[in-house]
Amino acid sequence: MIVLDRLLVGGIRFVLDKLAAAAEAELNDDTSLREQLLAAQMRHELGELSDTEFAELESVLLARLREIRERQRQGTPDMKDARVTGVEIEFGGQDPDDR
Amino acid sequence: MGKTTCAAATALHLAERGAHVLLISTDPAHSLGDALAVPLGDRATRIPSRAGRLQAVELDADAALARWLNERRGALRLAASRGTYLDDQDIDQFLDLSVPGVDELVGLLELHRRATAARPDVVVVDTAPTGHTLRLLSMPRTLRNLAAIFSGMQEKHRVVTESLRGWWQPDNVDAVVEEMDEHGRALLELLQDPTRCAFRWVALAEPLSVEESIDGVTALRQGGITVEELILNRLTPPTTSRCATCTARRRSEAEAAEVLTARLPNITVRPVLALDDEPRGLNALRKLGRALTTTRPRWEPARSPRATPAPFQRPRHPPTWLGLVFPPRAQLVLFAGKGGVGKTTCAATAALTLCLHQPQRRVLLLSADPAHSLADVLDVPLDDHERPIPGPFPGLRARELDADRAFRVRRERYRHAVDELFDGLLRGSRLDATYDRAVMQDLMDLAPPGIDELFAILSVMDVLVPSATETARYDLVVVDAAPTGHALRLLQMPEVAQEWVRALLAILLKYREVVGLGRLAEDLLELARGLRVLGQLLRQPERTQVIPVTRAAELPLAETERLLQRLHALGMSAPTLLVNAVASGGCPRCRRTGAAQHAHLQRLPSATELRAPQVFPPPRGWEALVSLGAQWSLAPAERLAGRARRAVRER
Repeated sequence: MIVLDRLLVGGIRFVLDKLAAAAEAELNDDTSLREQLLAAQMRHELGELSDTEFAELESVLLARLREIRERQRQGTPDMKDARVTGVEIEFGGQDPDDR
Repeated sequence: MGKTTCAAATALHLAERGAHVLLISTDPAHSLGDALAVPLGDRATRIPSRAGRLQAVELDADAALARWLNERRGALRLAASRGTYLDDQDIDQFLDLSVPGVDELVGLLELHRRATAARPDVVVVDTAPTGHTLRLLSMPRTLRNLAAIFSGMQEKHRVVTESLRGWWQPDNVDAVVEEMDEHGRALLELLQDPTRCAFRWVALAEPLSVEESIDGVTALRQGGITVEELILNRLTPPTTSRCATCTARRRSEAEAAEVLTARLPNITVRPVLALDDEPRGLNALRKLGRALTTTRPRWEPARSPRATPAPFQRPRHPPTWLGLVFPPRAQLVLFAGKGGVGKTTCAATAALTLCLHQPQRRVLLLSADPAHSLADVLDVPLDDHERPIPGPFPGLRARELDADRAFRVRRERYRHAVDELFDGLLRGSRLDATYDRAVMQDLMDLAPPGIDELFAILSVMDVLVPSATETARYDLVVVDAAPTGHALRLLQMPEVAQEWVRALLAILLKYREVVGLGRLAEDLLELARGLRVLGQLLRQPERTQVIPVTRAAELPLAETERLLQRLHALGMSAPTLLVNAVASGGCPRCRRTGAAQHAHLQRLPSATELRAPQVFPPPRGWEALVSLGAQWSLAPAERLAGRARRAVRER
């Protein structure tokens, strides 16, 4: 049972770690934003976005990029330092082994 | 050089000796109809020969490509959809794009098709000028490489089908691939078989033409092609009068001929004497045909001593023409015209004169003709790097574009990006797209058709159009362009290349979720912008000028008229015409030539006309070129006014 719990908890912790990493990436990694900006530029070049549409999209993306840079510069503790220290699990039903 | 005239005369001669002759021009700027004085087109036209059967064609490469592609479209599309990740819509988009510099690719195929269909005894080909003819001859290999790429695309399908079904039945994709490979093989065999294919090289007894011929003949021989004979055209006949011009000219021709025979010892040289005026029409061509076939040509090279050249005097004032050729805001000036009119000499003279009088201007003199003459004219070694020119020209650099090298450099840059793309594609997958990688690598090894025009345009773009990180490195680029047909291809290149880049961008966007956008997307985006800016620059008359260079003779002037029409249609500006090699001698022969030239010049359109005198020996080195530039003059105002009046009346 303990083995099973460990496995379960370990698995969930692994998933949460991954989530934290993804959130960190979203928050502090500008790669995805840069790619969105590049895609917008490509669509503008191809005429799929008008000048105004592109300008709007570009200013939003650039603002978010600036935010990230600002955060990185100020050295705000980022999600990289966050660690999952414990997992609390409540079981709703009865454990079949206890029967 | 008189290539077209010699080809037409040879064909007529063979036909009138009873043969069925097909005469084909593969030069994108056709002159064959002018030489025969018969309007020609893409369909074979019967020429009224006295005997035999003579048909003539001016090949339309774009139409020929469309024909070739349409017959094989289904199979090519199937191969591409089996071998790539693209869907039918993507593939059709690519198949519908115009292909830059298609002339060489389809030229040989079309020759093969027509020769097989009409079954003539002899096919006489008037080829494009040197550089592009050498490209044409590499096409059999290109065709076989293309076949290998499509075969690679088919391979995956073949392997999968075989492993699922246990056997493989070749289909129409295999048939087309095999046909391409077979045509490539057969064409190469034909070109290298001296019993079936003979090359006749046409040259002038001038230093530049001789250098180009030596390079050209050597390249042909290295390709396993036999050059049967070298026609040394338009030689000055011996004169009884003591004309200084004729004497200097004959001496210069003798020197050039000597260099030629010394450096190409194993070739038969056939001297052909100049006529007072260029041969045009069947009667004149018959006469030339006899000169091209008689066994004993009579030409005695002159042996008089060389005159001491006058000491160099640096001109004090800028010439009157300078501001016309290079307006103050000009960024791109292209010298264009028929092969052999003296484009390189004129471009070099103009650029040197400009830099002498305006040393602060940063100027790049770029030779974009794959058969370069710039180093020979300037008498300095040049290569694909921007090199300073000795002499008082601090702002000037010169470069002879090596499109193959430039292609290799860019290819290495993209090889990495393409690998990155595949890695993205395979992210999280255990599959390795072996076949796809192989196809992609083969595709990247295949030099694109129109490589010379493409890389000329990219080089101009690189130094003139500021990028996100760099400002423009030059104020002005002076281009010594390839002869007319390919110069026009060059000017259309920004649009054509941009279509391809945009198609690739659209594909990358479409599959963005799968492969992600990498460096390839960034590079392509930068390229699309650069090409757009350059395309705009070409159409701004105060920034871009074409200077058509011509000679006062029938064929060059007819070609110049067509060039001006095409430039006008492209929305480009060519306000100044440069008439090169205007005769000046005083003997009866020189006067006859002068009168013929004068008559031809009357038909020029009412553009500003700049004249360059013919000098012997032809100028070489910066001092001779600057001295020549001081002798360029604007045509007398009254003649221009007369022409303008005529133009108004005609309207």
